[in-house]
Parts: sequence; structure tokens; C-alpha cells
Amino acid sequence: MAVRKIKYYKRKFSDNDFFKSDSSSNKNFEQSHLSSINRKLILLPFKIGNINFVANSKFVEIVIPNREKYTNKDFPKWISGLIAYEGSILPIVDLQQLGNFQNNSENFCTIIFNDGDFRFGIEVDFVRFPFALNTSSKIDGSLHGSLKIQQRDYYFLNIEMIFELIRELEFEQY
Amino acid sequence: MSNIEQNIEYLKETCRRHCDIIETCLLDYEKYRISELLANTANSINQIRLSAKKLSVNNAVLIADVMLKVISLAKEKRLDLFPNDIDVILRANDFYYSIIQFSAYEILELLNSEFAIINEITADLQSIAAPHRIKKVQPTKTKPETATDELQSKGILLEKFKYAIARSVSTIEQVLEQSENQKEAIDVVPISQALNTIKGAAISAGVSKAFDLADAMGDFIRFLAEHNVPINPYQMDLLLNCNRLFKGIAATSAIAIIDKIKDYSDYIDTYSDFLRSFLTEQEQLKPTPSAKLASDEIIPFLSSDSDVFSDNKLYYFGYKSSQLNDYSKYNRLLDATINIISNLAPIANSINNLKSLKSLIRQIQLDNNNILYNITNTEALTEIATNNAKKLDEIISQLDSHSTTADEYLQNIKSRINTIYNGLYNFRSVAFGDLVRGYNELANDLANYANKKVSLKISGRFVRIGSELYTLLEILLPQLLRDIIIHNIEPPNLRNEKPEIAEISLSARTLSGKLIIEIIDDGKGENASSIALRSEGLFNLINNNNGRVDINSEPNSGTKLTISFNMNYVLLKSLVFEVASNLYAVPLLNCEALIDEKTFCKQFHDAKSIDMREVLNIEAEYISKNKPVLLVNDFNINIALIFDKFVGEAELVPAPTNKLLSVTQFVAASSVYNNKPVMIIDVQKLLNMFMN
Repeated sequence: MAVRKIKYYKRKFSDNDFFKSDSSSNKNFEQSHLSSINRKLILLPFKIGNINFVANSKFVEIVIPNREKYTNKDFPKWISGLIAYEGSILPIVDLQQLGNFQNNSENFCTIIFNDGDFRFGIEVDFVRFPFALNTSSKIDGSLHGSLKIQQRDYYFLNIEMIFELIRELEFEQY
Repeated sequence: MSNIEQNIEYLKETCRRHCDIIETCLLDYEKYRISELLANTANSINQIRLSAKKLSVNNAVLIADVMLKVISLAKEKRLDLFPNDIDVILRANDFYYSIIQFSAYEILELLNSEFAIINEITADLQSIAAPHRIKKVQPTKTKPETATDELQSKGILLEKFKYAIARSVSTIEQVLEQSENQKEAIDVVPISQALNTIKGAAISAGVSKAFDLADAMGDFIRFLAEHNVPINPYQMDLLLNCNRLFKGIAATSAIAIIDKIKDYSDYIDTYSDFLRSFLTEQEQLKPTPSAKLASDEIIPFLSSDSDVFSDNKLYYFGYKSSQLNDYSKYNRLLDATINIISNLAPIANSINNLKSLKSLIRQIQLDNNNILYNITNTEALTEIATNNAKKLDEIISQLDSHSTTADEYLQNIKSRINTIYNGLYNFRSVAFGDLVRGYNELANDLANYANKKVSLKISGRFVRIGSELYTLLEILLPQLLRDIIIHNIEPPNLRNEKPEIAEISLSARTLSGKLIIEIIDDGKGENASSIALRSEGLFNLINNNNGRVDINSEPNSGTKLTISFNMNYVLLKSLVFEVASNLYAVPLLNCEALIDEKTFCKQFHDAKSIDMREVLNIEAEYISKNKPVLLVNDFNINIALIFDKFVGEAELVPAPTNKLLSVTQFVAASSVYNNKPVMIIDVQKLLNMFMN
């Protein structure tokens, strides 16, 4: 039979794709004329222990089940360990140590945040569906400001501030 | 079976039949002419068309339609078919051939989704049947088929030659690789069969050069088989290169094939000369180091998909050695290898001596038997016994001397192997810090020259760069730096609100197999396109070496150049251990032996041991099992490292360390093993820490 063949590439659809947030759609959203009139933030709510948090979903890369951590006593207290993700090693930020939250939590999943240069993870109990929020609502410049959304108290996490901290660790850049 | 499935099966069947018909026609070309060949396929293509219509897969119908048109025109001799056109037709044929390899549902999906390829094929076919190429039917057929027909037949013969090569090359490659991997003798029969096919096709296509090379290869392999000589890596390389040469020839179209062979003629001559030289001079079966180095300049690395010949890159055993710089490193490695071999020779001698010792012992055994038989004669007995005692003494002294020399040689070889390993590590990668040494002074000099003030910040000095990129970056980075200082940075008096001293940062990092170099300045910034235009030559250099440049610049906001290259990583063979559910790896190079705690206590009473839990400041925990103990060697002192659990052996890709990891002093790098982070231990540092 003929030896030459034409190769066909079929894109495999993996389960992970369901979790991956589509950053391009976020960009489109921000750039569309609608957003310029009525600026909205898409927030990802998650829960650690009995505290509710929200974070800007444009930094969220993926939510994965918890992974085994490398731990070291000499690490800063707010770094609970390191995990391997996509062949590189990422730090896991311990929010309770960072923000002095007193809490008992059972973490089941890890949210990986990505700002294009660096990545880090936060271990959380679970995440809820993202929702949109008008930026007219007051969000202050501290690590966490409190918000009241649908009669529920949330802490709005300032992810950019955590990225500043991560940057200082001179981690292998993403 | 559903209706659709039946139809698909029918389509597959028709495709298969169609392919078979074309295949047989090609093989028995002497019987057919191109028009007859196409006439044969008319029926089968019509069947494909009908079956595709039943499935309402318009794409497949499109191709079949055009094919039918071409065929009918060719049948009526209203088309001049060039070798190129035959290529296109064969490609369409290949498409059908590839279809039948998929399952029923995949076919439907494929036909609907791959319309780009289908469209391409259709367009090509349509260009054959374009109106300007169709001849009008001539009432009189006085002119016999002459020039065009000859061209056609030549094209088909070349096409056949290509098929022969394509068919044979893979078998040759398979056999060669098999024998290389399994260290077996080469299987002669399939190779010579394959070479004969190439030779036959080359004769009929009139390509004498290719025939020569195939002939030389055949002679050489037969020679090896007849004399039962094992093939050495150098010869294997040569044969593989010949094979690649054939591949390169087969990768061109029928029209260009003769030119291609002409281009390659020098290489073909060299190869066949080389192969034949082995036949005449048997001493050369063992290549001398000088022969190896000489061959460096001759053997090119061919890849079938691109014309590597043009840029004169030379490779040997997979390592690029075109750069003068690398030759010295290469020579050093070669020296170390020769040293090993020279160390092996005395060992072989002592093995020979041991053989003579063995015969002596045999002699003593025989004597002993004699003693048993002549047990009555006591005088003879004592004589034999004293003789034997003398001989045994001799043997023992000889054995002693041999074992000490053998030990010495083995130690020597061990250290040499370490040299080679380290040499290879340094040979294949260079630290970015080494590359950019002296760049601060360079930047200052350039700035002084241009009456500007600049401070250069370099980060990522620890990042290791594959040596294939070293020379390129050595040329590239100073030029880019010069461009930035001269064109992007403003003189101090024009830097309005910005600090007087301009800041340029040069950083390197690695990301999933890529090396990324960023050069950021706080200069005036300008349009990205104008920068691209100015540094066009440099950017072309990057692009030609499979790199990528991203320019990020806007007026008044500085410039960011991001250059990325694919990089070959350094693999580090290591043993992986667990301590308090964290993974640590020790490079195999440093490991002496892996034993358990009990054996360690029994055999090495006075050896020093380091409990990793203590070093890592982790509380001791009762683990019932025998802990694994790794003996590491440093300055001929064995020191034992005690871990919790041995996990396994792994080839790790070291990633550079950072501030977080450097809290543990002896961690040299981090890596990933089984989706878990693993820290690679720098044994030297650990031992130094312990000694102090």
C-alpha cells in the first residue's frame, strides 16, 4: 500500500478544559463597548472555613483538587508549601496566616492565580459560581475589604497585593 | 448495522479498491502508460463519488468530481500531464488511502472537519483541469507522442524511484535502529532487499549517483556480514546518515529530484568513498580519534523537512560541533574517553593473566587427582605436594598483584567517567551568568561612547542555557544591547522626569522547555514596527534559529523585548527519597551504594552518618521499618545519609532555585517527580555543612 500518508490532527478534549477559565473571553468582555459604559467585575466566590471570600476572576487560571505539598519549617509563615503544577513549582499562600483569620477549615481544592508573569495557589474549601459586580461598589486598597452581596458578608481579596509578595520571592517566573 | 454505517463501509471498500488499482498500475508501469493508468481508475473513482454522495459528504464528492474530470480529459488525451500533476493526483489518492484507516464515525467527522485539506487538494486538481491547459480535440492524430510523453515517462520513473526509496528507507532505518538499540548484528536480508529495490529503481530512472550510494551501502553491509564484524557507532552513524540522505531525496517533488541529487552529489561521493574505504582497509574498522574528528567536518546532519545544507551546520553524534569553541570541549571529552580505553587495556591483560592462572590451578587439580590414585607411593606424594605448595604461593602472589592493579584501574576509570559526565553537563549547558559576564562594563563603555548614562541589571544568572544557543546569544545580546543604548536611551539632559541614569534590565528564565530572555529599558520608546525594521537582521537571526521575538514598546513608556527559544534540558539521573512526606533527590553521580540501616550498622561501624531529619530540623519519628541508608562518596570518605523511605530512580529536569528554596542551604535545584515537588540535594554543600 502507499507509504505516504496525510496526517490529521484531532484536538483531544480533556476534562481539565471545563475548569480552565477562558481568559480571552474576559479580555473581550473588558474591551467590549458595553463594559466601558457599565464596568463590571466578574468575581469568584470561595469559602475557607466559615469565611466567604471573593477574588477578581481575571486572575484565576484553574481550580484543581488539592495536591501533595512540599513543606519546610523555614518558609515564611504565610507560605504553607509548594506544589507541582504543569511541570513547574508554585507556592501555596496560606490566607489565614496572611490575613490573621482564625478559622478551622478542611481544604479540598486549590485555586491557581496567574497574572501573566507569576502563579500561586490558595487552598480553599470550595468555590461557588462566579457573579458580576459593578465597580461603583466601594473596594478599598487593603488586602481584604469587606463587601455585602445578597445579604452575605464577603471579604474581597486583593490578589494584586499577593502577587507583589510572590514577586519578592524571585520565584521562577511563569 | 445501520444504513449510514453500511454506506461508510462501502465508501471504505471503494477507496481501498481504488488505491489498490493505482498502486498496481504504478508498480507495473512498463505495462501501462499514464493515460491508461488513469483510465483504469475512472471506474473506481466513480464508485467513490457515488458512495460519497450517498453519505451526502460534499467534500469527498468534490474531490471525486474533479478527479473524474481530470481522468476523463486525460483519457481523451486532451491534457498534458507533468510529473508535478502526477504528484497532485497521487496526493488525492493518498487522501483516500488515509480515509480507510479510520473507523466509520471518525470518517464522517473527518470528512466534515478537514475541509481545508480537502479544499487544497481540490484546488490543485482543478488547476490541472484548468481551461487553459485543456487541448482542443484535434481531428487528426498525426503527431506521435514524443517530447511530452518522454517527460511523462521520466516523471513516472522518478516517481517510482521515490516510492522505492520511501518504501526502503523505513525498513533500513528500523533494522539499523533495532541493531543499535539491542546491540545485535545487523539483519542483512531486509536491508539488502531494500537497497536492491532502490538500486533497481535508480537504474530505471537513470540516477547513477543514488545507485552508487545504495551499492556502496549494500557492499559494506554484506562485507560486515561475511566477516562477522560487529558494527561500531561511527559506522552506524554513517549508515544512518546515508539513509537520511535518501530520505532527503525522497522528500522533494519529481521535478526537483534530479537537481536535489546533483546538490547532494558531493555528499553522496564522500559517503560512498567512506563506506568503500572500510572494505579496502580493515584497520579503519576501528576508527582512530583523528578519523572521528575529520569526519566531523564531512558528516552533515540531514533533516528530511528542511534544507539544512544551506546553512552549513555540522553535527556529530547528535552534538553540534560547528563552533570552534565546542571543539576544545569535545576534544577534552574525547581525551577522557581515550584514557578510559587505555585503562581498560591493562585490565584486559590482567584478565589474560588470570586465564593462565586458571590453567595453573587446573594443573594442581590434576596433580591432586594423581595423588589420590598414587596414594601408596609416599615419596612421589611429598614431591607433588611441595611442588603444588610452591605453585599455589605463586598464584596467590600473582592474584594479589592483579587485584591491586585492577582496583587502581577501576578507581581511575570511575574518576574519568565522572569527568566525562561533568564535561557533558557543561558541554550541553552553560550558565546565563557565564554568558553575560562583563556585560556591565560593556554597557558602561557603550554608554560613554554615546554620551549617555546607563545601569544594567542582570537577573537569572543561574539559568542554564543549552550550548546550542550559546554562540547565537554571544553574537546577539551585545548587538541588542548596543542598539538599545544607542537608539532607545535618551541623553541625560533629555530624560525629563526620569532619573538621569537610564535603567536596562536583562533577565533570563525558563518556562516549560523554553528559554525566555527579556530586555527592558526605560528609554524613550517608539513604534514597535520601527524597532522591528531597525533590527531586522538580528530578528531574522533569531527567527532562523527557531526563536521568537515579541516587541512591546510605546512612545514615552520604554521598550520590552522578549526573545524565546526552545531549549534542550539537562536531565539529571537521581535517586528519590522521602523525608517526612517531602521528596528529596540525590544525583546518581554522588551515590556510592544504597543499603538498609541494619547492614550499615553491621558493616560500617566507623562510617559517619547524617540523619536527614536532624539536618532538616524535623522531629524524629518512630518508623518501624529499616530505614534506607545512602552512602555518598566525597574525597574517598564514605558518608551515609539516612532517609525515611526510598521512592525510586528518576531522570529529573532541574529548575533553578529561588529565594524560597534557598532557605535550605543544601538544596541545589527543584524539580517535579510524579506530580510532586522534589528538591535536588547538593551533596557537596551538605557534606561541607556537616563537616563544619
